[in-house]
Amino acid sequence: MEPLDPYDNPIKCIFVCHFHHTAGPKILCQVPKDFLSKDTFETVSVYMIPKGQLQKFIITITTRDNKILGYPIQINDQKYLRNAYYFNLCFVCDHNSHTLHYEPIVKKLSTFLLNLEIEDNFLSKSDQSEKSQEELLYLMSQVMQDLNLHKRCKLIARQSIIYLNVIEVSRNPPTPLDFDVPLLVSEIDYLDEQWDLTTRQVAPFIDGVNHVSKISKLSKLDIEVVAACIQNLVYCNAVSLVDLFRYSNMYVCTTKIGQLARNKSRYDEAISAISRPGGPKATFKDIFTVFSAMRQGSRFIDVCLRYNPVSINIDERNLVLYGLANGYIRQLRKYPVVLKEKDVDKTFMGNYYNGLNSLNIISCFTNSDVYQLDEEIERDIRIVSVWK
Amino acid sequence: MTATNPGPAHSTSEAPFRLTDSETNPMCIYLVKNDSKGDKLLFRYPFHSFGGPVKVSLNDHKRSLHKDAGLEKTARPHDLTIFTDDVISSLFAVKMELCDRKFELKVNNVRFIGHPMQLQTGGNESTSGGGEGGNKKPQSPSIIMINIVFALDAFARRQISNCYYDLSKILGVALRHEEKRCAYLSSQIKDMLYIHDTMANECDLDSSTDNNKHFEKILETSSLALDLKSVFEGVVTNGLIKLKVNDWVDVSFCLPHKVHHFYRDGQYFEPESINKCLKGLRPYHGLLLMAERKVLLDNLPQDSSPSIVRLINMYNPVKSLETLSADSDLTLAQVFNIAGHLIYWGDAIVIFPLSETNMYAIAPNVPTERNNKFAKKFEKRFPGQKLLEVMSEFSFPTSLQYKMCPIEDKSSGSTTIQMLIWLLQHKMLLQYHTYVYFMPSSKGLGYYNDESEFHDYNNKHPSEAPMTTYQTLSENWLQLSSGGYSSSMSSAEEMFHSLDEDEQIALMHIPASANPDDFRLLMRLLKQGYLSGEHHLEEIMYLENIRRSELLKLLDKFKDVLVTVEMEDPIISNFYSH
Repeated sequence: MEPLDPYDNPIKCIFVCHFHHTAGPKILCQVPKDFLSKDTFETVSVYMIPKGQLQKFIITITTRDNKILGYPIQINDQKYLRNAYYFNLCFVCDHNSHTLHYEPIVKKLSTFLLNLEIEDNFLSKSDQSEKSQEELLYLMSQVMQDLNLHKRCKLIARQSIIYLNVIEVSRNPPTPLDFDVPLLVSEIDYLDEQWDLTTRQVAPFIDGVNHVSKISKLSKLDIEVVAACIQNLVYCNAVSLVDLFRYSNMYVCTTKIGQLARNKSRYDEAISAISRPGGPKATFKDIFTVFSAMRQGSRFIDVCLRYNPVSINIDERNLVLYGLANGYIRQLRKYPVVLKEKDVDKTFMGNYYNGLNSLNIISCFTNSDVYQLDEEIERDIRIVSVWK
Repeated sequence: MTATNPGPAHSTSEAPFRLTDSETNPMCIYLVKNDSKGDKLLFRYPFHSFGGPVKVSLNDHKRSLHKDAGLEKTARPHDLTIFTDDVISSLFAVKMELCDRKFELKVNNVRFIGHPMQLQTGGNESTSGGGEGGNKKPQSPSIIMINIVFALDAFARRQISNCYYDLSKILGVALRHEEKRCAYLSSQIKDMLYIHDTMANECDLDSSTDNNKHFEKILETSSLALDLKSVFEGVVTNGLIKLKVNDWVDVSFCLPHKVHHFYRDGQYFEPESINKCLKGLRPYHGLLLMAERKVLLDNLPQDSSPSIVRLINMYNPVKSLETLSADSDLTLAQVFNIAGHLIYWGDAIVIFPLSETNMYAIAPNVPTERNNKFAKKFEKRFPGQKLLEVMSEFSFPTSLQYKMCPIEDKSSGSTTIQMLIWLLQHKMLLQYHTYVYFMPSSKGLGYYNDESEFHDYNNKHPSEAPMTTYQTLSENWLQLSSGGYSSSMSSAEEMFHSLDEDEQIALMHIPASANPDDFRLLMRLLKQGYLSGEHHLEEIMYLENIRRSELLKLLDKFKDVLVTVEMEDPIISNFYSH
């Protein structure tokens, strides 16, 4: 069975192993003591102290009970008996857990040990010296304790400090386009020190209205920096990207809309998020009714004309943003395509109509009016459009 | 605007499913042995060029903060060239303690999955096999370890890597069986080793470490190598493997996330969602076969159950599972099981049976690029029709009733249905259903309890025996109403009085409330739980045995206290991209 939270899996053991010039691969020290037996270590030692080519590779091997990840390092130096020294710092987790997020830490710690070893043979002499073995043991137990408890660790050894922080590793989100609008899905305290300077500068302008290039202007930052920052926030699940809010957009309900109706404890939140500021509160029934009117085939302008949101105290922009942020609605986009290849050059802006660009995107990039563009598309029989 | 710039960033001509492929497809398959003579990589496939094209976008590099975060630059995804054959064989020749269980090794961005297996060779007296290796001395029993390993992208989800583990295990078991039966494996290994040895001697002079030629030669002579190649190609092309190891043992395997494709990158069909779907399956749902009936029947294994054949013969997309069960003389439970089986193998999906009143619209994320591969496929199947044109007609919810113009003749109608089925089979259309919410007062959903304290939406239906629950619910009502007019009226009254004051007033304002029949029907639907947005009109019609017109009339009469929402059936939505 999968653990409930794959990222909440503690480190069961940390050990350092090396290649002893006569005894072969062996464990130098481990916390907790005697976690891995000598036999267990021997069955996997080929992955801990591997052949030459695999040095400085993050290697994870799964055994019956454990998952062991390490970052083997080789130091070539005449001073060693075999002209080289091999060691590896390994984390042991449950065999069923995800360990991707520990990889950067293992790498960083290994590199740290590498420096200590180069400086004063910290590891290679641990075999003999009680003192340095104890120091190593102390460092390892501190790392394990802090990472398991706080997900971060500040390690002070000799004159240097290293910071370790467990972060989730996943694929990169797509790079935001200039006209994508970031929308906060979870609160960011942009005064908090944990955010970098750029994020703290950018965050106040993320309001679900400003698009990336506008934020870049407002925050007086380079657009690439802003885009990278927004991408980072998407990665952290703090922000999701939506299209520019326009009345010509079309939205439809998703299967989540029922949760909005049935989860009465969240009614107040929805009402306060959607009501017009400063006026009387909108009623839930009105809010839900307007959501329910968002159907394939009716643009948002049609919905607004039918219900006149002002008269029922609904802020239509917040309605859409709230719906999108919670996944109650999704946007449909119109994709115009010039059907025949040979007509592409004959059509005005024909090469934009390849079926990959939505009408909104085209209008942003060509700086043209959506309605005018739409009319032209509708008039041109060589172009068909698909809403999806 | 320049002609060379066809538009913003979306426009790079990417084949659909690119990213998906890198996650679901293995990069390589290996066969490693380890015995008293040491370990050896016997075969790998593909052996010419490693990996597919690596997707690199300049734009990405410039803007990404996360590029290579925590990953070594030396091993870009798919870069297997760093693993020489020697390294591979030493890594995969696992110690005895790691045998007969899952082998999982991750090196940078590559995850290796296999099921190392120990087996006894040479104990059999069988005379079959034996290579041209001239090695005639009698074989003594010995222990050999073999490991069939798949190299995957390390980001591949666990469900995906588990499938490859199962596949490796199945292949291993088949080989073990064949070894025991006729020493097939040892003769294959001997042949492969012979080729490795002789060719290594031949090219000793140019000291090339390139073993690709060996593998090429092995592929020409060894049936096991051919099988491994067909396994690799099977999983890469359609996720289906139908193999006869040594012309004797059947190996059938399917990667569920491969046979069910999605139009969105990075979305997979998780085997788990079949269970979810089956739990939500109702007798009124129907099946849609993804291929022609004949093709499907021909592809069934010889020993398949006659019930499956019977069901497929009786199949029609307009039939509900209940009808199918009656027509093919199977119990409903059997039909459900077969349906689950067909879904797993990607031969079918669940739909609501085709009918004239079904509303269809374009599904999210479908490709709309001019002349994409689906458009070409469509035009081949329906000459003279353009896929995008047909899709644009479905851009707004459309029903068959509307599509089938009454003036046109029957033949064009059947083409329309064929096209509809094609679109459904390619998951380009999804069906919208109408759900009803009882909202009499401005406060929101009336009568029903808050779901957060009452029940979890997903577990709403007692999953084990949904039908029996339904029946008892209805029977209760029948019992209540069997007492005749007065008792059903009194239970409606009772229902009415359980509402709060605002809700009662709202109801009283509606003229139709004065009509006892309408009022009773509404109260009945309310009591049965149909007005909390969890049951679409078709389900209500099915369960309560009401005609559509009757129901629509009722909804219209009480429209001030009801809110209707159009959305897809959540039970089926697993099959579509979101």
